[in-house]
Amino acid sequence: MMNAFNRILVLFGLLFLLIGSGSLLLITIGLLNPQEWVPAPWHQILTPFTQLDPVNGWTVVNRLTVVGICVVLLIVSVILLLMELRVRSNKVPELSVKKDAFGQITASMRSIQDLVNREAGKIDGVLESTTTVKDTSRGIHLQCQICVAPYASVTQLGQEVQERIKSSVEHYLGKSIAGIHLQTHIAPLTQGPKKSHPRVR
Amino acid sequence: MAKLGNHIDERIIAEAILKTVSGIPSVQVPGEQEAELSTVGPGWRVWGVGVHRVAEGLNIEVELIVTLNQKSSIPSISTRVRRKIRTDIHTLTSERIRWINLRIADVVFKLKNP
Repeated sequence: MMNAFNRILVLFGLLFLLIGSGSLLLITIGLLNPQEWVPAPWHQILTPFTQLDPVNGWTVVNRLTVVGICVVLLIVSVILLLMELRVRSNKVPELSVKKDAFGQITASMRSIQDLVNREAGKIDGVLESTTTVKDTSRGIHLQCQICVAPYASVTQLGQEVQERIKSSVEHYLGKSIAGIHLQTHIAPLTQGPKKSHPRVR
Repeated sequence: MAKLGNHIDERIIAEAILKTVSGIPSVQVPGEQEAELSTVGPGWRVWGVGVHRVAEGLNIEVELIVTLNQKSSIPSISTRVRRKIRTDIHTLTSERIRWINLRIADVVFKLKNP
């Protein structure tokens, strides 16, 4: 609630800055007449900005300084406003595990990735794995990249990894796996064994 | 007990949920550093639990860190958690619970490597 209030406050502040600096810029360069646009007595505050000329004791540098400050404020306010208006999604991507009349159970993608990587890492020959999870209408689709040891048989290992991941994820999540796309990389012989850390506590 | 009209304050409900969940094995509510959900009021905040009161009743959201073993699964643990929360809230208030959403923030494994 407070966040929404703060955000609205910031948006109003930035809008005020944008309109203020824009108006001042237009007034200074003579494109806007405050007596026509701003109601009395407020135009009296802005009218002096229309007279920043040598006749009134102002130098060109003074005028350029005002214009420069207005341009900088205008640019800054536009950038900040755009940044503030961008939809900021802090929500962590989630996957729906179960949905019924009592509510919904969701799991963060990260927790499922950890689960998959952990299961893959338990197989001998798998050095490292990274996973992308996609929730489709047919079930969960997993895209795994595994780094295998040079001595391992990729075909055999790949099948073993797929079977293990499928049975584990289906057991732990109670959701069917629609597909597992496995991409294997053979670790270079020079690289030392880099065993993934199982998330066992 | 702090009350709002005929209803119990959301803070009381959120704290009761927190207490309920902490009594269930294999689950815990993430703390301030990890939680994304919270119930906020003037001068207080209960992390990991969201209590929203609407005209039809209460909508509850709970964030969980689940510890899995070879026999357990997320749906079975979640069912247990939701049932316990529902029972405990009903002892506290007669207000209708519309839904209880659970969000599994993290999974921890309590397994020995085979």
